[in-house]
Amino acid sequence: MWSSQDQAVFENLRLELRRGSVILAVLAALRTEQYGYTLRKRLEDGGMPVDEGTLYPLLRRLESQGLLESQWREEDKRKKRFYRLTQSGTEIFARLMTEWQSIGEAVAHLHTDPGESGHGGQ
Amino acid sequence: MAGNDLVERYIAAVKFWLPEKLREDIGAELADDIRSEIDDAEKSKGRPLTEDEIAEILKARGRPMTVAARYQPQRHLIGPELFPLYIFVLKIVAVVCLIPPVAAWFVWSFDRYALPVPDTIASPFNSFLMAFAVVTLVFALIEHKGIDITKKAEFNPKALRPVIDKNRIPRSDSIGEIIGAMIGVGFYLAGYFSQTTYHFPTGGSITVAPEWIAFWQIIIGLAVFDIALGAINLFKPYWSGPRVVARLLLNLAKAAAFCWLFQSHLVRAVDGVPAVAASQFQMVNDKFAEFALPFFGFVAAIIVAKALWRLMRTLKPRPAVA
Repeated sequence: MWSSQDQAVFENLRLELRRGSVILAVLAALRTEQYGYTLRKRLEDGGMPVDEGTLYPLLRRLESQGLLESQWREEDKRKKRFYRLTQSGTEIFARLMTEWQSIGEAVAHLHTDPGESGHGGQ
Repeated sequence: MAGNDLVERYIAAVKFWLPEKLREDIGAELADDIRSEIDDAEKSKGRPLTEDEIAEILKARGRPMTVAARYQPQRHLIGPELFPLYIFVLKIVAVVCLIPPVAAWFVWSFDRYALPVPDTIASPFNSFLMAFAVVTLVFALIEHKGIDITKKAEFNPKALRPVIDKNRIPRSDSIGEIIGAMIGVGFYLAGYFSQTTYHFPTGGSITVAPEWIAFWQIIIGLAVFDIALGAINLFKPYWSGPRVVARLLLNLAKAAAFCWLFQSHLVRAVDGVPAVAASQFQMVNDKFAEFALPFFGFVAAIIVAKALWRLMRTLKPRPAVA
């Protein structure tokens, strides 16, 4: 049974781990145009739920960094803001994915092969 | 409809906390998101949501001020890059603010009419508060204006200071102690400290208290321990608990011996000098006698503080040495 302190530490680390992954998930989902709510549903359905308090500020930040572009349009008699990746966003996303995969492989390698229990490589 | 009214009120409350240029944009997007969520819930339930159910959705989103805060950049007066430098400067300022009152106390302890001490001693708090405000303002301005003061020069790892092991006793200190003690012993053996009257080369003489001879016997006795401790420190140049205590006792003993010497009205007679000079000698002599004990207290406090600091350092693990 975990102590509450262990649980809190785990939660903090889990959030840190998720923070970077959320950006990738959002970029991945926005390769096709979507508005905020459908994006949120898509992320949730894809196993990466993101609350709106995190998602919308993140979308704004990514837009200000030039990775996304947005457009207000009317759909179902309601004005909605649609987001999608820009050209630069697409390129950066591809590079980030490569980076993410190599990080994943490195961690998996370190996990399966703990290496020698040497001191300073002796 | 009451539910719609609730959403509108919620959006208006969030907008209140947003910067004006973002209000409409964020408000519209948030409103759409909330209404989409309500639509979704109504579709799955097959009926319109009640006011309570809508209130639950809004409650889950959080307080309007919290929601608005998430859209704003993280604010800080002094950013993380400047913060360590800011704290460093504040520490220096705190020390500088302490110097005048300590000096004032010192002067006051010799002459109680020289300074209005209560004001002077009370002032470090005020002066630190003032300095704190000025330093904070300057750093906040640097942060706000985006002035880059930390990255102007290219970072050169080779220019980093070597790691200093504060637990290590510099060999030069040990050698200095040994030489100093040996010189003292040499002078003693030569008979310089075995008399109470000294003649000036220009004529005249000074006669000191008989305690002078006993004082030097004590000091020379302590010097022998000084030499022994210095020799040990020279070959094992790291402070250990017993050696810290030995150094503490030696220093306290020396300070106490000096205190005792000065309390004895060291200068007993000055002959062959003008009367004015002789009376000045006497006045200084009396002052030394009067303030020997408080001065010893002050010095002893420093000695003990230094020993405690050394003791604490000995408890910390020593850095790895290549």
